[in-house]
Amino acid sequence: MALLEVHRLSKAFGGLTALRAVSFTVAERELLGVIGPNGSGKSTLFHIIGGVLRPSSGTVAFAGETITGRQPWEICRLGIGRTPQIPMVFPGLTCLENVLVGAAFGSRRRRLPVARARHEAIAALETVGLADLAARPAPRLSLGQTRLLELAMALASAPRLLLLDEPTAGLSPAAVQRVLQLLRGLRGRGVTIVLVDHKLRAIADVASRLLALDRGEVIAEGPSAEVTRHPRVLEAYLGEP
Amino acid sequence: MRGGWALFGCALAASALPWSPYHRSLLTTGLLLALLTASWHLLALGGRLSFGHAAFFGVGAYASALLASRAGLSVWVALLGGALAAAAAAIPVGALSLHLRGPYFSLATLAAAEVLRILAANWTSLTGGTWGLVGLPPLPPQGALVGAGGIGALLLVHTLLARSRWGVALAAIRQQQERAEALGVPSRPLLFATLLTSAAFAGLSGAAYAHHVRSLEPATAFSLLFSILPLIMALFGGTSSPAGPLLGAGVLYFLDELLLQPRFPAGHQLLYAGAILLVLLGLPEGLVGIARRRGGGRGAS
Amino acid sequence: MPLLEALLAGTAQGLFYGLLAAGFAITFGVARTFNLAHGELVLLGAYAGLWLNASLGAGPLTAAAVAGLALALWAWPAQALLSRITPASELRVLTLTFGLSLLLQNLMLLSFSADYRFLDWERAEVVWRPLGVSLGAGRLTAAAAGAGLLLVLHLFLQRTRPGRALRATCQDARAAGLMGIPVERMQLLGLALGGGLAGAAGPLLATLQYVSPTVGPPLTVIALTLTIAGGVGRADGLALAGVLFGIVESLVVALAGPAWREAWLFGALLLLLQGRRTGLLRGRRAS
Repeated sequence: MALLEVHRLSKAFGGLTALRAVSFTVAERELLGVIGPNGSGKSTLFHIIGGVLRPSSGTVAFAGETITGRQPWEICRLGIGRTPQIPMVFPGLTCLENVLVGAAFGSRRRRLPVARARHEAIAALETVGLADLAARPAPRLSLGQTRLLELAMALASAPRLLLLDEPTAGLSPAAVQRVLQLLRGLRGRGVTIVLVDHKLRAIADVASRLLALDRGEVIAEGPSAEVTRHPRVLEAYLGEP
Repeated sequence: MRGGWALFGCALAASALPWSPYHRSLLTTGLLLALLTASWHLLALGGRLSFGHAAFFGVGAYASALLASRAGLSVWVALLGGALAAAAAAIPVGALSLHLRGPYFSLATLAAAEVLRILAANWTSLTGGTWGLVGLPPLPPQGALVGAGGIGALLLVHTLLARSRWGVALAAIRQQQERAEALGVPSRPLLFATLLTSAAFAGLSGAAYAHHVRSLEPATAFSLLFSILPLIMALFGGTSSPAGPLLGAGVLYFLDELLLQPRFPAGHQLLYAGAILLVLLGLPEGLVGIARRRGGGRGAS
Repeated sequence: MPLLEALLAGTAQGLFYGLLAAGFAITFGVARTFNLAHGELVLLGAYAGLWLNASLGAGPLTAAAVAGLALALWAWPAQALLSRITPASELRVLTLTFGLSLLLQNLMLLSFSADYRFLDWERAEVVWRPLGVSLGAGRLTAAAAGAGLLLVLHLFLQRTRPGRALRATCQDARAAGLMGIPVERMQLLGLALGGGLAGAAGPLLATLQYVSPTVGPPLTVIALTLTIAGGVGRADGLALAGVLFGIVESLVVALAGPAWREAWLFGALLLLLQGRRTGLLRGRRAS
């Protein structure tokens, strides 16, 4: 059964159409890559699934339940974790406290006592390899560490589905490899992942399936090897690095 | 937090001392203003700076005054009624403002307080209109204790917040609301609960004030001053710990009443204008910030 | 006939409101903050006008011109204050202007006392009666001056180089800087225009109503409401919003009584704010 079903999703901002009748499904334990040039509607798609934006039409269902129109925190508690494209950590909190927010509130098992939540937060920091920096104020991390912290914050809620918006943007090649390695590990632990990126090669490596968007429309979908050779994908990416 | 309890101890001790009627009256007003400021600060924890706490102060004042003078309830019961009425008034105010952020939230609360003032002025059959209400039953002699007790109860709320996940949730909302929501923090219900609690304490402060001065009119109960003062006093004291707003209220109020008002009756409020400009231009963390820097950067919260 | 009277009087009053909002809107454009001391700047202009009138016999238009020039000087202290505030969050800057409002109000109380004053001039009694409705000369002068200044401002913003540069700065200061526009000078110009228009509105206000140091906040609220409704960087939007606001206000007063005038004022602000979910810098959302 599909874990996430997106059905004919459209979104217009004023006269601008950001998404046009986008449909796709994500199976349990799958790692789907969403690719497309800047402005193709990738982030809009994530914002709608996460409940930040309302679609003009269409529906999103998660584990068989329609979630369109729900509040962002409800969607998180159902088991959808997200990381933003531009890092948005809490600047006044330490790394551990940042992750604690996700552990204490994002879990499907509601009402986790603070002590248990702290435990889970430390575990999430260990998963991403930041346990040593638990007490450090969040603004004092490097960009690469901040992206890992974002991942730990999302992971702390033990999500069934992770929506990652360009988790490797701005990172050095070595740091990119670390993030990708981490994603493979998570997949091994049974987490379903939808990953947005516009670095075609990096994403094709980890994703089993790709969905290509251009100007708000699905232009190709299928196994990575096929989609990366699709003529419309190549055309959309012409001139893109 | 410890600083807050220390100030609470001072307030209790001061309430028990045998002051002259004049100084006792000053102490009561000062403690009620400190309570109003502390209630304002509770909402500020969620990143919402109210420019309209006079709304809750005024509703609490009118509700308590009417319950005691028209319905004949004892003043103690009326005070509680005032707090509850203010919380009830916070429901429509919150519905019209809490979905707004930053300056827009502040301006919406400002407008809401003015709308309530105009309602109080025009609902003559209930409120006596612009003539107001006079001859209200007085606050019991130990009235200063109402202020001190309210402050103690608010400090308990702070302690509960700090020990549960809700304290960190409010901080998260204040710092990055969208991210907090994406991590499962139910921002709207939490902010609503915070606003209602804050309004109840502001209402208690207004209710006690009504029986303290024993007369009410819309222009004073809903005065812009009761919106501005908590804002200025809290920022002046510092918002990073519960002690800051209490300290700010105490220092500014007594400075004003004891030193400035007797000497410069016309322009004594320049003190408040000066305090806010000082904080914004050169003292970003307020008085508490100075204490912290002296203490070698130890956190006071 | 009360309906027609409300319509004409409201239009006249509304044109003046447009002027009241113009300085506020430009200040918002360049400083990215609502200036909650705007009403007090208008009052400073009003007191300047009252003084000119009492000592030199100046009429409201002369007084408005002189007060406008004087208040334009506000740009320098304003820019100095804005650049010194740390950390410069939207809320802290807004709170700063709140503090300035309190400061100016108390300084005026010290200097001019709390007495209510009115600008009296020899032609104030002349009344015009179009269609059987009587309009006082004070109101007509204020409306004409408001309309005239809004028109000049409109032409300046749309037709001249510095005007276009100012609009670009209001829309996106960073992009304007990249295009070679001297952003700091444009901010100074915007603040000067903002203070000047506020100052010019002052003496006209003193012919329409009694002024005292404490009547500033409702003026600020009118300017704020019209700016949210009419937008920044366009004088015609402000004029339209002002006229609509003035007409509804006259109707409210005619139908419900003057006690409800303020309810309309703050109610309109509260309703208009409902559409504003994000910060002052309109939400920019990436792809």
